[in-house]
Amino acid sequence: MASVSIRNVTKAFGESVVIRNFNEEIQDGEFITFLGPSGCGKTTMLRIIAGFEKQTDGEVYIDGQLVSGKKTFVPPEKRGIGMVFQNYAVWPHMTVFENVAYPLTLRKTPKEEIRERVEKALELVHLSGHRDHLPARLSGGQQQRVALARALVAAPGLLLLDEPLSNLDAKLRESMRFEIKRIQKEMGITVVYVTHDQAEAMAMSDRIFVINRGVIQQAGTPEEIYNEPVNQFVADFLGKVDFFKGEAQDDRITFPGMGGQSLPYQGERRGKVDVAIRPENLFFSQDGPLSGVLETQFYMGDVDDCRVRVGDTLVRVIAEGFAYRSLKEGQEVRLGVRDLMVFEDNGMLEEMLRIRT
Amino acid sequence: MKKKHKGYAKYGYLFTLPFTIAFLIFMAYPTLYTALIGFTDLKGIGKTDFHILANPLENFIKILTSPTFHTAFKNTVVLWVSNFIPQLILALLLAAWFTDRRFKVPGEGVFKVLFYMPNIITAATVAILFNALFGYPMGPVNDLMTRFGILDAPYNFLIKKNIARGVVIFIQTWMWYGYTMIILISGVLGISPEIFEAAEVDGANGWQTFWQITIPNIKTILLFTLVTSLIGGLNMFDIPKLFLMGGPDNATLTTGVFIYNQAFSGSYMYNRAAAASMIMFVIICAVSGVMFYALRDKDEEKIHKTIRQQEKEYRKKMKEAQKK
Repeated sequence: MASVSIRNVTKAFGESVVIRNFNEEIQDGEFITFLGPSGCGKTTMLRIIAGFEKQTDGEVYIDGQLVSGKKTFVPPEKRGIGMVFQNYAVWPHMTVFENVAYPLTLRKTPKEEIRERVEKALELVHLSGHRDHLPARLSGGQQQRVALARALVAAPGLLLLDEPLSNLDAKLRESMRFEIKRIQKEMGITVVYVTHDQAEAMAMSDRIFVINRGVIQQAGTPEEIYNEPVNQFVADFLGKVDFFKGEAQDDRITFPGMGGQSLPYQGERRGKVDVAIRPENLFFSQDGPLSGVLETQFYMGDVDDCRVRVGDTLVRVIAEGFAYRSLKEGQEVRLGVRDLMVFEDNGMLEEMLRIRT
Repeated sequence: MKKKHKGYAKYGYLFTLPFTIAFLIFMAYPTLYTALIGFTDLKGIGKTDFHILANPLENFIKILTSPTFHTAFKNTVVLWVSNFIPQLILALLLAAWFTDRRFKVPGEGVFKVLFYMPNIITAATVAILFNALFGYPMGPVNDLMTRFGILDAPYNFLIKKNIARGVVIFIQTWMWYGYTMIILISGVLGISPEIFEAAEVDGANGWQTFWQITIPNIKTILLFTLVTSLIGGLNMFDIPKLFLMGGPDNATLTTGVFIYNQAFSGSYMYNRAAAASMIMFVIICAVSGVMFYALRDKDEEKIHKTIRQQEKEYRKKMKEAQKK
């Protein structure tokens, strides 16, 4: 068990600043995810916590003890951490047992205790049957579980995971999510998890830190981040979303791109706004406020993925699967809106789009 | 599309032609010719006609029973082993030093170049240089040692057998450790850095990481170094020949020099030289084979073995089933 506090950490490589003023507290036993696009600085931050990189400025405390500051630097092996890497990093010349036992062997733990603890760790990751195999004979998921067992065997207070599932196939990735979460709960360990996969982050985390260009955009529970994103970036990064330019006044938002159609709005923003609507928050309804023409629809089984032309704008609607039968392409439809998010039109959206294209 | 592909293929052969021709003339033909004349009576300057001997193995027997060849072979092994061990240790230490993530060596590139430098200088230059260094009665080594009072009078170092051998060993080590170091560094850099980081988190210090993580992971590179060095070492010719002509009293006579002397001095016994070459060829093949076997991937072997075993059982079952 360990808490981590990161105070004003900044990291620059020469001219380019990859982390700007990172300031967060991680509680004992919390499952924290650093979520962001590649190059946002999330892995660098993790490596600073681990002690593989040193920040340019600021301090890192683990369990209230300064591990990295202006004059202090505690090396990784003395920070009481376990770490799992993206490429497994299991040692190919050692058997599963030897791999997992290695941290204990280095600590000169008695043989009998090593055997006991390694067996327990292997049981935890469901690999007891493979203890004498070499990693080359294991699948990717099994190798990653060896790495996990190795990181856990010395009972660290803090477990760091650097995109551990991104090399696995989709099915395995999903089941491993629950495995990791289960192990975390069983051991009551603090976890910092780095990923660019929002579904992974949502499924496991107590809190998610959404990071972009070295700055935390928002920190909160998965629910907060999904439903109340603080800006366009967060709204866009988690889940599916479409943005529309609008004009807010007199309790309504008018969309010039939709031929002047408008939606009711109770919020406080006025003037030019970016409106974000998640496609699953739109639905077909006889008396919906928006009207348009159904242009295409794709039957996905559980859902019906539609594009509706409203004025000059193409709007994505994810309706329930059974809607497919009752609708025809080219048909006039009306759309209802369950929820929308309104942001100030500050140019962030244009910038995001420019980066993406 | 397929037709077009075929049309281009012949140009490929065209491009390999320069190499193929050079290889056939300067490698394949001489090798086969050597293999042949070992069994013949070809000797003496300018002779080209030869006959197979009444006892075709006569040359081989002569060589194998020649005390000079024995001396040469012993020298070769001693010179190779005693230059390879320090060379490998030095190269490993330097490779570990240059690839250690915990401290960056300032001016790393300069050091690498400096260490590699001796390998670029031609053997002839090195041989002459060292000959001059140990010159008698006047030479830098003698001058320095008399000046600092280590010696009372100049000493003729190079007529002492062990000193001569020692200098050859030193030259070989000095010329090749940089090369070996570069190979090992590339081997270490080929290992995923995460593997080292994982070891660091687990608390392995530099020494433990080196022995327990680095060395096992560059095993194949080590085998490569060992075998190439072995082949080069058993063919050692240039330094011993150019430095002291195999002397003093055959102390630095290697099999390479022995073969050269057979063929190009005295009574120009090309046939004996050829026989000795073939004997060395067989020895090198055998030793390399043994090394490959000794350092093979034992786990892989085990897997193959179990697969073969299972196949056998399967076939047996099939046969029995057929009988029924």
